[in-house]
Amino acid sequence: MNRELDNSAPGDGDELASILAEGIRSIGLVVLVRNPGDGVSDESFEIVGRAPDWLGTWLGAETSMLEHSPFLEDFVNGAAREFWDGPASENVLRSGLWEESPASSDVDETSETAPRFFEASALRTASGKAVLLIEPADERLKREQAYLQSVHVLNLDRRHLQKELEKKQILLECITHDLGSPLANELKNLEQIARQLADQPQLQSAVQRAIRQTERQRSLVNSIAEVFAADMAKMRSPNADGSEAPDLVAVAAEVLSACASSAAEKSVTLCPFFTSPLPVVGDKVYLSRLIDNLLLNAIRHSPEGAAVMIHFDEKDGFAMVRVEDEGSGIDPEEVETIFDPFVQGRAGGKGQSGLGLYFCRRTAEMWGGRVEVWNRPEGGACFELWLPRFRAVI
Amino acid sequence: MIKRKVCLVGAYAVGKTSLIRQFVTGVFSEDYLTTVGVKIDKRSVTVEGQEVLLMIWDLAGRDEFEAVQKSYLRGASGFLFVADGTRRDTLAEVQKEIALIVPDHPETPAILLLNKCDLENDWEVDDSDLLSFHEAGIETMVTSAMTGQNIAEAFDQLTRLMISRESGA
Repeated sequence: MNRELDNSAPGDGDELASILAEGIRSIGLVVLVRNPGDGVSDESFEIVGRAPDWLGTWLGAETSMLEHSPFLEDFVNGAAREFWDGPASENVLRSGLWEESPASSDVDETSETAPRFFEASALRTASGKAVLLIEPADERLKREQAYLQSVHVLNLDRRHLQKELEKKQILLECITHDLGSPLANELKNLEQIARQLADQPQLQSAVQRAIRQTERQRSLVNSIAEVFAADMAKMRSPNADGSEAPDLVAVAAEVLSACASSAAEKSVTLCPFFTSPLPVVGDKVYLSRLIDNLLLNAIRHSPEGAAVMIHFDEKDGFAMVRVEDEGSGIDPEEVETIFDPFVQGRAGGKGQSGLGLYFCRRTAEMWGGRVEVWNRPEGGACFELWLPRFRAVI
Repeated sequence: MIKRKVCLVGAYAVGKTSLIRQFVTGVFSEDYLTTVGVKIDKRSVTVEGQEVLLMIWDLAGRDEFEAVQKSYLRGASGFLFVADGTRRDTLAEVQKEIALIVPDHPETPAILLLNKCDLENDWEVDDSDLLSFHEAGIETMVTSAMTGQNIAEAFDQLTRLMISRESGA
């Protein structure tokens, strides 16, 4: 039963319902009013004002809405009925969003067939009349769905990542314990044997070779473990635990000092051009290892008597350390792949694992930075490590 | 034909909507679209000679922001609690839901579905994780919305439990 507002009786409940209907008609709400004491069925409600076009399509005739929509029927006969018949506590009771398919009797070839979303609200007038508002909620649904979808997908992705990290942690432990520990024992035993063979130089020489091979194996295992360790949580959020942001210049100075003997062995001169401190995002231990890899790489590929230059700079929120050598440079074909795992580059890598530069790239990227490489026009290679400047949160 | 309300409850992305879609239409999609609010589907089953029209309520998955609205569960004749067998933590979510729901519906039959059993390599749940459910008298079934495994069986079994309870057997 429809009732035009102009013809409604001027009671307090009618007046409120009329005001409500007038105020909300423009946004497509259906207002139904039920007298106190009436039962709850399709017939017990009257639509205030004119029924909007969508009502028939999605909820059927106003006299059969509850029959068509199990959700609405459940709400009206359940929570809403308790609200209307119970003591006045809240001003309004909302049903929450629900999805409705078109009412089958109203669907033809030209009708919309996609489901739509609605929300119902139960209210009560001062005279005790029950008011039921029904409003389309597609826009609200889209907003809520977009938000929840992004939260859920992020959570699922994070969980997936954690699982992957756990797998790598297990692999790391396997590498460290199952491969690394036996090698350490083997090395100790070989050293013991070597000492016992002091009077048998031929055998001792063979054992020394075995020791060197074992050391290389252990070095490779450590490198692999290091690469996988780069995926661990601390690497992903290096300063999240409040740890101090490392100063790129100070860390490089420490590494330079540690590499001095390696440089001296090849008569390579290390030439740093220090600047003022450059705090960066990162973990000090791993940053040391990263710079160490770049420096040792430069020293290794430098001819005797050459120089390795170390420069610092900053630009666009990033700090940079550049390591230049005077070696043979990088084969142009290897420039694209030199940071890939197990690529040894530059004349076969001279016994290296091929993981050092991969570790550098992975670590820098995890901290939001990057590593770049090119050949200097005057000869030799140039590696630049760029890391985000650390900004303390105030 | 009698009509009965069945509610699916569980954490987000465990596959509730996919289970219902597979049961009602036989369709499965890999795409994940989070459910907001409530969607009701219908399908009739015949159990022990009794035809029952199941009104299947797909309730938005619980997350840290929101528990299932209790009013949606009013009048439910059966519950299907759903967990993702590849995410053990969704079992804990189900346990929280059970703690909230079962005291208000102590006699309502319920089955726990461990969904996504097609993902064998990622499976995280073992028998010991299900002990507390078994002790609480909740039957468990392993399902796959992708392959359809055990879905019809689960609805049939729940309907059987509902009828049996109503007949006082």
